[in-house]
Amino acid sequence: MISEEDIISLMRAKDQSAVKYLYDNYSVALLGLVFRIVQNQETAEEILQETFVKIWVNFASYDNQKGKLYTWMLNIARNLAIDKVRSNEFKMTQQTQNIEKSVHSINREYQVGFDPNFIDVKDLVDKLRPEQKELIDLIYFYGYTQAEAAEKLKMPLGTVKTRVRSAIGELRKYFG
Amino acid sequence: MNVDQYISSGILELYAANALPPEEMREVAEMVEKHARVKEELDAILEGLKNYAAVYAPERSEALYDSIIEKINASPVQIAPPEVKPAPVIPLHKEPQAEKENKRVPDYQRQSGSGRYMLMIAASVILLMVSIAANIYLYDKYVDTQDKLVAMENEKNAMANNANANKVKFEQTESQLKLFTDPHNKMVMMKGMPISPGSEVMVMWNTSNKEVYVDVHRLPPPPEGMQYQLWAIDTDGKPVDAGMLTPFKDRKDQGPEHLKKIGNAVAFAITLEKRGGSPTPSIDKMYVKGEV
Repeated sequence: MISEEDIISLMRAKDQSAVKYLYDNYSVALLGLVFRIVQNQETAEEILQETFVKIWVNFASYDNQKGKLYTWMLNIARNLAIDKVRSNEFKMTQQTQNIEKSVHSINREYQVGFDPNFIDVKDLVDKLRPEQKELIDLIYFYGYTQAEAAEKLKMPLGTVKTRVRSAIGELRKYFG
Repeated sequence: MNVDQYISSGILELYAANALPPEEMREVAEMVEKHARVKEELDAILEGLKNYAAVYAPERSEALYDSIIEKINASPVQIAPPEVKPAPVIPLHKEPQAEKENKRVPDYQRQSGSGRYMLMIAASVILLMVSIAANIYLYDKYVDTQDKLVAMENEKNAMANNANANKVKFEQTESQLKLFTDPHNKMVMMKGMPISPGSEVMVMWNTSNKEVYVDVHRLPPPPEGMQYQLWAIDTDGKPVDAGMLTPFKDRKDQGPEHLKKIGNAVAFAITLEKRGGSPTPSIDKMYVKGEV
């Protein structure tokens, strides 16, 4: 099993075999994250491509002292997706609401149109309590910082920590 | 704080999602380095998050990987920041760049440097164009206004002239009216004589101040070198020179003409004489005559 450190070295050396590894290991998660934000497969795949190009081109700016590789990549993907949703072009083609509202519309959409193959998974996602789900959505999918989430949900910073802990603990039971 | 407490605090989960302020991100990274159990826990959290996001992923298109590789190959190779230094590149500018990548920043700050520069250029070009357009528009307006001003000045002059003319006319009319209304005025209508039966001239003679005016109603134009002369016939039947009539074509206005003062008269007559007048009237050339 190849280690994260090895991948980082390969990427810094501009070795394209590292891209294959990143794709195999992270593209599904990143695509899911982006799709959750933009709600359109074609757009999501475009953003995923942009994400990989950015990861490749800007790899010199990755600092493993500041976060794990997946954290860095998800941040890039998330920013691109959020930018896309905010851009007028996207608003005009999709007539989407603002991001915060779309958290709820996504949920509604999934209740109607969720892929039957994922029915089990949907049940599992629904095992999260609504307030846990909202918190995870804000922090994980929409890139809120701890402080921003605390302000938005009107709870102390410490409470955000413990709730995120318990929510992700829940996720790990099913997706770990 | 021991490792268990640290792990259960929830800080690792926030770290995994990049939700901590930069200094805390660094602190957690140090803890991860130092404690194998913390690292293990973090890896498990990341795995959980990764799998959770994957739940939402649609089936990837078959060509997705190939188009990523294609785009990577077409992407510019990152070399040193342009024109700054030719020196080795790698981690010098890491700090601020990484900072930028890892923080959520407002949209307008996410623009690349050159993008912002282009935006500024575009903004100044637009501004310049707007300014040029405004100048053209204002110059047009200026010329237009200038034309209008000249036109109005002309109009004003025309109106002033008109007013002057009206004033002159009014004064004439007023003095004529005085002549007609003065009770001392005697109006003498002189009728055409056999040589010119259609002629008619009115004499206004003021018996108090002796002033005489003639108002020509109809009289043939005098031949070249000739002029009409007014005569007053006094109580002795003697004709007295009462002045020369200015030829019609030489007169400035058509009002009554002021001639010589006459002390007493029983009749008035007009004869055609040589230019400048005669001491005695040519009786055969008498055109009009009227009794007082």
